[in-house]
Amino acid sequence: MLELQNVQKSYATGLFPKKVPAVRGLSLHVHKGEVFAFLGPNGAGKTTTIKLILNLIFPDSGKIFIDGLPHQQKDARKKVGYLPDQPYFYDYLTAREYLIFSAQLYNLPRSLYLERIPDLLEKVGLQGKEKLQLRKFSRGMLQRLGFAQALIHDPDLLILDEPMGGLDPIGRKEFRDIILELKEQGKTIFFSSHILSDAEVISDRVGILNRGELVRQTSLAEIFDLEVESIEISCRWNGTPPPEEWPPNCTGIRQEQQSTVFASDEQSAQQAVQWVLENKGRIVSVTPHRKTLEDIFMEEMQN
Amino acid sequence: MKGSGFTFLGLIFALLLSSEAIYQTQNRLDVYRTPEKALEEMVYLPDGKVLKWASLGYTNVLADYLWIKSVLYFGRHTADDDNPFFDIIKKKYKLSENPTEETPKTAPSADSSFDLRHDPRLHAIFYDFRSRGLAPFIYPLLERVVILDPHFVEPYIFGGLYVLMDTGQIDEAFHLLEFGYQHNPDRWELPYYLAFLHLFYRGDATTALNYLKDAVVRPDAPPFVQSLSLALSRRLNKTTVVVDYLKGIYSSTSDPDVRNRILSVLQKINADRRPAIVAR
Amino acid sequence: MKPIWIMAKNTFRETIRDRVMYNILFFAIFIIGISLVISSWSLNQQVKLVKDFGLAAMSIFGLLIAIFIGIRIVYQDTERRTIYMLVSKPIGRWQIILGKYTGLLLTVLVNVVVMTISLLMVDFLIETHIDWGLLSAVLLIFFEIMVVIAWALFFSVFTSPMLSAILTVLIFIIGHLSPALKLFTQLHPENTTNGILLFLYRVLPNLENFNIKTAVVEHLALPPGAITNAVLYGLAYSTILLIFSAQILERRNLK
Repeated sequence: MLELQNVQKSYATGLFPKKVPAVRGLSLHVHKGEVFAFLGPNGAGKTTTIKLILNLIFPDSGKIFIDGLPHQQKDARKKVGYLPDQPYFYDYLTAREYLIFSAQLYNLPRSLYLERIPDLLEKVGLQGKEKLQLRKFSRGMLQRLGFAQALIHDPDLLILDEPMGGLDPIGRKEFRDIILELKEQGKTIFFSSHILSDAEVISDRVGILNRGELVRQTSLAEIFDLEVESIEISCRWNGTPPPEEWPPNCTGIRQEQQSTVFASDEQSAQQAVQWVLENKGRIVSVTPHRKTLEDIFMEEMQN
Repeated sequence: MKGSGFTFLGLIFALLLSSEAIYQTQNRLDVYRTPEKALEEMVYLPDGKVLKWASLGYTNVLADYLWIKSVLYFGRHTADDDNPFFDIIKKKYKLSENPTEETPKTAPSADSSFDLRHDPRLHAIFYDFRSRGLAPFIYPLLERVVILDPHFVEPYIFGGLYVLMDTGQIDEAFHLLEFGYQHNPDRWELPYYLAFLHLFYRGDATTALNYLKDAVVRPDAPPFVQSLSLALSRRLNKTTVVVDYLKGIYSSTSDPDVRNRILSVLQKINADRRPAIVAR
Repeated sequence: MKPIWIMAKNTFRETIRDRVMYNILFFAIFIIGISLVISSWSLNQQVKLVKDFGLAAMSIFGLLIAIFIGIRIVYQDTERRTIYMLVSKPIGRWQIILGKYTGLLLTVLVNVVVMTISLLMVDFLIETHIDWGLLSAVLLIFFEIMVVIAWALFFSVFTSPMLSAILTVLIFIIGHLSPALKLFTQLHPENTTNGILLFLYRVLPNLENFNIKTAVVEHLALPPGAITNAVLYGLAYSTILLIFSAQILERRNLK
């Protein structure tokens, strides 16, 4: 659905313009119907990449395709819904007027957009605000309206730059739900974020950008399959005091009535469970600790 | 509750104190703003040409503004009983109790047969320069007005006649009117007043008549211009000039009454003169 | 064509609701009305003064409004990045420029109409009949504003709002002084830099072309084609500026 081939972009900055690379040799591929999270620290080039995709800025080299079409073409842009980072709109237009404006730019028939607008506003949590002038909107409300205008033409591809920014936890959940709903409808979603937890919950694949380079591209399933860091076994002791030594390859926290044992792998975990039972303890829970996205992220940053 | 009460009182007190301070300080400042100060002369104004460019296309409004200023300036600086500043002006310029009554000093008349300057009946109206020297900036002001807007006719008439009658600045008046005359070939007023000035202030009937002839043929010239020029021409002894002048008027007017009058005058001239003239 | 109209409608909608614009407009009408008072000091020149003041007020305030709303739109687009939302949609960048320009013109037109009505009303009060000749001066005032807005838009595609405002005001001043360039070359034909001066004269806008206020108020004859040529000049000049603006925007990496 979205493909970048070896895209390069540099900026010339400073008094004696020196070329600073913002995006280096970026290639990625987002499949139809998947949710792709584009992660990276501030300044990594996420917004630059998105601006490149949307033809707001022009790549020095490389190609970008949207649903097979070269990205500069208007037909390509018709398939995309864009929510920028910190969206602003025209102060004196109302929400409804702005959505009509957007709809008209996509050449939607009047009856269609008039029908869609109230539903959309409700979907993003702005019901009843259609006649309110945008200068009276809070940051969160603007974000929601931004999402609405990205959806007005029912695009196949959604490009969202920090979609959860400016939202409270309720808002974040609402947006996550909308994204998942869109995914179920078969839409493709490409979003950038630096809130890893959100990415973990909703995305299928993840790309990590650091200093303009895509340092890692994996699916979440892959992440969760590998690298169990430790297994935490929580247990209670009935009357009998906890034994002195931990089982092999384990450490733990010992308390009067309960202990928490950390086993480094599955095998040691099995041994630990047996150890607890042998010592007349009771297993309360067994929880595998996998590498989180955060761990992976931090790893890449340190490289 | 008590706290907010105090605050409220405090604010009221501050307001009252400030108002009193404003009143007092303004009074003190106003002590120095005497009526004399109000008469302070116009400070430097840039040259008309500079003003024209500086006005960035808004020449008209600037001209209008300066025109109002001229009128107000002149009003304040004339020796007039109506003028509230009259006493101050008298003191400032040490005016004598008897206003000057002197004939304007210009070159002797080219044609003294009707030099009106010595006609005592006209003195009080035209030669009583009561405000001589009192409004030195009036002509520079008017000059700037007309440079900015040369087609603005009122300043020419104002400066060419009314100001002149009060201040006696004959050369400046001529200068102003001549400027207007050059720039407004379709206005009868300019040559008309120039004729007037030549007649009454330079005793030059010949030039006056020429200007009158010019005024007569200009658009919208009122009938009295014609009658004045006729009246003047009758006092001339130079018949050929008169005949030409009359013929000129005859051909430029379609008014049957005027034509008849011209014909009758011509006939009268014929009766006194050699046939050679008639043949022409 | 259609996207341009959509863009224009929305720019119009946005700018026509601007609070500051209304303040300026009311002030303009106030000045036009106040001229009734001021003109009474003018020794029977009331009619002339009222018309002079009225036309000047329309011209100045029209320009103020134009620059002000133009710059505000620019500010929103560049500082607040509303332009991202536009460029990412299936609309060409040149269509954005044309649409914005048309929308701004419509707003200015509304303002000019309102001011004209008040001017004509005041004229009627003073003269007991309406001098319809004033309308031709108003027409050219509108075209002058048109050219100035085109400059404001042109600056806005590559500089900041503040700089755009300053440069636009400068252009206004230069535009009224431009005849001096030509005059200089005519008075000093031997001058070596005349070529450059004449070039500048052609390139910079000659806003005096739109100034027929004197002739209209004093009922002087206008040279033949004064109005027609001025209108065509305004249209042609704006077109060139718009073409440049569109081209620059097409190539620009948006921050």
